[in-house]
Amino acid sequence: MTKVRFLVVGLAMVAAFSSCKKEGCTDPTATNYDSDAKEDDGSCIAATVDSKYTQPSTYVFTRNNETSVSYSGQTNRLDMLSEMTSYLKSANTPGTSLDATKLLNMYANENSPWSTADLNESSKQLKNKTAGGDASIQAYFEGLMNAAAAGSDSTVTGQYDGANGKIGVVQSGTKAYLMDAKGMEYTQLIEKGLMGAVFYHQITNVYLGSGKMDVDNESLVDGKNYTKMEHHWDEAFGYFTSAPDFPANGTDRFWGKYSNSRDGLLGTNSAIMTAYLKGRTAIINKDYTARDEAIAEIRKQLERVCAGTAIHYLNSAKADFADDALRNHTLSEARAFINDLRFGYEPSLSGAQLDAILAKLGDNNYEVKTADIDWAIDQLGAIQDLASHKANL
Amino acid sequence: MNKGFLLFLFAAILLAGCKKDPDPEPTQPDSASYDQQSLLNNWGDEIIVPGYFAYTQATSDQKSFADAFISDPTESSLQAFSDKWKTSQKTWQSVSLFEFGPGSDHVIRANTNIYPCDTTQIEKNIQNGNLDLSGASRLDEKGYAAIDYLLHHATAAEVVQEFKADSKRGDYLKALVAEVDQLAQTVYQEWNSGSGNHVAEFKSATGSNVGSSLGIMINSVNMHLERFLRDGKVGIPNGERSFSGDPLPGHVEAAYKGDVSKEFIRANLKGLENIYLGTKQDGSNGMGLDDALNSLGAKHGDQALDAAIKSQIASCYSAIDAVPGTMKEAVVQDSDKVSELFKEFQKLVILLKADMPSSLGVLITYQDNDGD
Repeated sequence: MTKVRFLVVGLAMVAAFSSCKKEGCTDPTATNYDSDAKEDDGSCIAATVDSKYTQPSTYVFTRNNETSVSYSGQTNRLDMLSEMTSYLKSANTPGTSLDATKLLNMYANENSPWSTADLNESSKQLKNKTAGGDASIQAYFEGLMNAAAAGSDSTVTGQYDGANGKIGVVQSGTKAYLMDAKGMEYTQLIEKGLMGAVFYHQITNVYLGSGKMDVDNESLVDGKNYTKMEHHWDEAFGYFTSAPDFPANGTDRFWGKYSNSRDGLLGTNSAIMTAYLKGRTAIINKDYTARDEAIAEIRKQLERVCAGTAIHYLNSAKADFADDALRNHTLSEARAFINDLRFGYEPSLSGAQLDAILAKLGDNNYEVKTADIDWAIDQLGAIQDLASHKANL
Repeated sequence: MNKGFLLFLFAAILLAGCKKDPDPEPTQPDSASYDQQSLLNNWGDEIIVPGYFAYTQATSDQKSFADAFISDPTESSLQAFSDKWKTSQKTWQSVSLFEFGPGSDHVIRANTNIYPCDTTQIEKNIQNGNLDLSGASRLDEKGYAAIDYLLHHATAAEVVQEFKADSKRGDYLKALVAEVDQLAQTVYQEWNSGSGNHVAEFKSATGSNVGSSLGIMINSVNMHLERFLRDGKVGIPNGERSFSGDPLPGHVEAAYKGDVSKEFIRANLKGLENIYLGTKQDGSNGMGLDDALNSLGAKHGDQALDAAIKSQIASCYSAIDAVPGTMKEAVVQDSDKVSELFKEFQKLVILLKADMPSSLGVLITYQDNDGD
């Protein structure tokens, strides 16, 4: 098909220009591209996209038997948030101090804060990608990091004394969480918050947005095996999971994990993965209608995961209502996911509606009321088809 | 299909027939192999709804006898009220397993029966006239444990005197019994076919998937058995769940009355047994999980799973009886006997949480271990 099209284009050009310019292959994506040629002579041998017409079952795409997929920068950022999260969780053991400078360095990837050279040498960072570089949202996360460090400094080895009005580690059985005086768990607000402000925002608004999708899909990026559009699509995928064979793998962290957790009720795993594969295949085939269908599907399904997870944690908070540690922990998660919804593309609930839900839940997890949690669940049920699932999420 | 492939398929079928699967995944049982609709009907119409109705009568009695005591505090009105408190909390034991549907919507278990209570905060609330007890931090300042404290923390004569001396104490008690009753009435109304009619929804959610009534019931019963019966009423007071291992006699249920804790454990186990056997509110036998398991031919090792569960329930009753004196005394003086009881409950957990769900094709979902 493409060959035929090249042929037609070539003939048309030959017909249009009957001047005496150097003839050769003028298609930069062809294997025999001649940069000196001014006029195409129809000799182009098209670079083959090996998996052109069939949608694969895993995120593997090649051109001339070489991979055309690259999202290492996204995997770097996933790894950064993983490492930051496990560092934050070390403070769940009372008497462990977090270093604020280290957290801020991790956020901005400065002064080699990571355990691996790979991350330390990476040019990537979480901070500049937070809500598209919104300074006030960056400041919100930096504030949380400073507060987590200060809070951890006040804990004493062996003392699980976090309580209403007192910063500290709150314990339930084998689980223990560092929380502020109002039962907010710093780690959840930071980790789940960045999942939204960085990963979710980058996928739905940035890489699947028109700015990154209305780009060249005709020629390969200099020295690379992909077009610009293909690469942007891959980056949108890399923020969802680093596992090309999701959900066989990649269910251990972030959006891949929460999609998998909701999959039993919402069927999000295959919906999201199929859409990513469909969109990438459509781009190869320059079928932008199918690509746009896939974009809409990914945005919709990720919002279902995000809102469904928020409802799930609100239900958990009710189920563990009498347990300070578990209730506050799940409420902190729920709050972060509610907040994350605003980073989606054209969210189902407005910022004001999300603010109202958070306000209803109050600012103190120790004082929350079940009626207010119920109200929040009902509001979130307005998103997509979640009303029918809210009792079981 | 070529002949070779057909032959292979035939061989595969033959081989599959004689292969033993060592660890079977939960499989969807053949829906025709037991009458699930009868089971759900019996649970909804004959156990849950009448169980809640009986509970509302007990909470309403508790409320009126509390009012009588508060308006005229004497040792005999205190005794009469105390008896109704005990009946009410004992009746609660048979419905406390149903923390789903209206029960979980209103978080009735946490709002009704968190113990031990925070006596310091209760006395503060009484003095400040703070009767708004709806926040999460107030759970241990209300419900049965707080009523137990107000009634039984001193001699009858002293308690009568306290209520005579300060009307604010009566106001607080009134708020406590009113909330217990109001929760009971609300949950019953929402279940009852006459008004909320959740019972219809319950009976229509057939199957065994997440969200089916069978799945919800089995998850709720197991979670209650583990966290509230085995741990809450037995393990925690006996120090099984604390790092020091020291007993916590103040953490037994109804710690101030002291001599009813074992009776409540028994009543709670009875509530679980009623669900398992399908025992109706009037005591007659109806369709239960035992019938379902027997229809399916469920096995535990080489005996019937139903027989194993029944014998384990019997062992739990015996272990309750083997605990000498009150729970409060036993965790200090006969901790090993309480440990035995804990272990018997643990054996019951294994049968009801592992064997039974996999026989019925139900997934246990409440241990949603996010691991974070």
